[in-house]
Amino acid sequence: MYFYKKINLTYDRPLYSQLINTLLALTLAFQFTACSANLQSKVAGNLNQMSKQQTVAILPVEIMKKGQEETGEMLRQGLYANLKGAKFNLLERYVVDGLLKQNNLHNPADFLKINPMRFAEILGADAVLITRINKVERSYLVIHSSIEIGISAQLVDTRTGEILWRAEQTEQDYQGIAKIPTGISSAILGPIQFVTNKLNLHRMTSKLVDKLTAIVKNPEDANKKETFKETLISSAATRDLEKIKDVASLKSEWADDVSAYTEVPPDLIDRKNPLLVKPHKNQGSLPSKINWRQRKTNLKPAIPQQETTITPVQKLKQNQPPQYTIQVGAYKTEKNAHQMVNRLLKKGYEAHIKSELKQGTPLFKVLVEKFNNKEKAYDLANKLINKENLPSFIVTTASSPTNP
Amino acid sequence: MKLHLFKNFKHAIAVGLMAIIAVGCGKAKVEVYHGTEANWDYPKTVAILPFSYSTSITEQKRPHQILRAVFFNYFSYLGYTDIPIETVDLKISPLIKAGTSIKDISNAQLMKILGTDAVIRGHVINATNFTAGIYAETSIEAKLEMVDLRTGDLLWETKHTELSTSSIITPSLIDMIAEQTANAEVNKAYHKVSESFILKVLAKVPDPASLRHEHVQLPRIISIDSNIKKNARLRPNDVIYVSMKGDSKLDAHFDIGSYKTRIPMKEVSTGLYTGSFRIKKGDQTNSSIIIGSLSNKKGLTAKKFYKKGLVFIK
Repeated sequence: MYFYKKINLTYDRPLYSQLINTLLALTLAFQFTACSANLQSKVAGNLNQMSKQQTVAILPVEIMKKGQEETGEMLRQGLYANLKGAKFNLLERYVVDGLLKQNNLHNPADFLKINPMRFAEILGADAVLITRINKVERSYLVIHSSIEIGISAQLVDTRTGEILWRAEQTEQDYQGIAKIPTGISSAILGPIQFVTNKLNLHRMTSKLVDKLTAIVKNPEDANKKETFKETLISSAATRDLEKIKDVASLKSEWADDVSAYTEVPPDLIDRKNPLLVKPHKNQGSLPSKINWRQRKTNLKPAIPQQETTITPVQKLKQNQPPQYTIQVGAYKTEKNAHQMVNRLLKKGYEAHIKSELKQGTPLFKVLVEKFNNKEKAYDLANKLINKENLPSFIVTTASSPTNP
Repeated sequence: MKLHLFKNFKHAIAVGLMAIIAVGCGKAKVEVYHGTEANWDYPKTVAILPFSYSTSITEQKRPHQILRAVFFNYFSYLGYTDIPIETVDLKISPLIKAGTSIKDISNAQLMKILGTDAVIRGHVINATNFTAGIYAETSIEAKLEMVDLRTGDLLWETKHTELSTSSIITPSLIDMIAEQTANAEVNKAYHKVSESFILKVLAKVPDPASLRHEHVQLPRIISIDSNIKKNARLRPNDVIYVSMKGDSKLDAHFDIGSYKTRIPMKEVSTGLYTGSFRIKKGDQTNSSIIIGSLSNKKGLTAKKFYKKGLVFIK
């Protein structure tokens, strides 16, 4: 009835003229706005380095609203199909989804917050493509209907956190009077058909993906405007890289302390590969680690100074089998040693400090537990290395270092 | 007058509906002969054989090749492991050169040559593309099927016609002109129709992706170590040594960030891989992490980052 009333208006001259004028104005307006695409895409120079030996994982698409799932799936399917022709390999969808599921990563909204390096370890991919559907809007106004899709995409190198490609695109198409209907029926039914036919949404998504991925497939064609001026690193990666730098600095400080009085015995080093220290018979599957040689005996007495007379109890101890303990650190300051002890105590280890003098400078060693049995000491040393990531070695209570 | 307009309106609806049908809302009918239940022994690897075509089709227009390429691109989204069509062509080329037709190659022979569990066969029955005045048309009629080479079972088949037309029944003049112009580009037109064809078919094809999720397993890397113990600033002739423990008999390599990639590692004892990189003059990188990788024959790769130090080369 509504359409009928509209058509009936054609017999009212002044109203008819007004309608024609309005339609003409609308036509002009639509010509400028409709059937348009807004693409902002930039690539990094390093995208050119990607080859068929590198693998990219296309992650599930983030959606902003309910009801966008199907478009999300269409987009991901389109990306897979389009990027088959890219210079890199694609990690199969079932592999990506299976590994994400195994690692409880179900929500695509979280992907941008996750350090890309984690994706590398979870998926084994060299880069991940993170995409989001910003909007899917369908509107219908009797003689005019439109569909608008907006998406954003980001390709991140998982090895460095570098953003290799970033794009945002909006695709809009319409059906209506501005496209000059081929008849009255087309003017009325065209917009209905346009907005309800799922194929149109698919056609637009496909068009959008075509335009979007063109630059990724041929990054060498990117002009200056389409290339990042500076290397962009994802925020999650920057945070973790800084952490690694800090930890490495702290460890090197600690290593400086330790290296002052320890060195790897020459007979234990594989000269071809310094990392491969000859395995100890009890070493099992441990990775290579620092081996220690006996400390020099001409050190000055430790603090507090020991008595030179040997008591009957000490005599008895000397005859007893040696006790073993595990050294996990040696610090110049007592405060640092205490921090380590507290950390270990919190985790349930029995840790304590043993202070000594090294070339006139106090040195505070952190020792863990005591054992009569050397095998048990090895077990704990292994645990401290593997579980707590602490470089540990066994010493006797007489301070003779032993390889774990 | 009102009655006349009402009649026109009814007529308009009829024409409109015809237009909707003509632009191809039709769905593909896929006959599936195998269930998708959890215990389905689905084929893991699939090869898409070259599609044959009827003699009535002009070979130069390559609709069969376009349809196959588009099928390959979209099929990989499903949970099968498909081998590249170039590899398939290379493997079967000796037989083709010897004059054997693809349809005459037995399942056992295909399984031996291709090493896959299943194949996709395709035959383009008819393909049209013409633009004439106010009417333009592109269509592909084809038959596709998937055969389990292990059992010889037909898993699914379809015979579908995808048609794209543009004519006076197209709702708008602008669309009509645009569609007719696009239709004149034959390859693009076939590509567009192939996409619609394949998407409709694949929407009905059983997808074992969810059945495979739990079975995905990357190779195992236990640990990675390096002589870079702190944020070392390296110079020419310095050597970065990397050792990695993990599953044995796999391909191993390490990367220095994305600066130097795929530096080979050798398995020196069971599950222990080592590799090294000597810094050369001109090498330069900042804050690069060493990453060890272990790849199996299925093409799956595990990675582990060495986080005890970063590489700086000046």
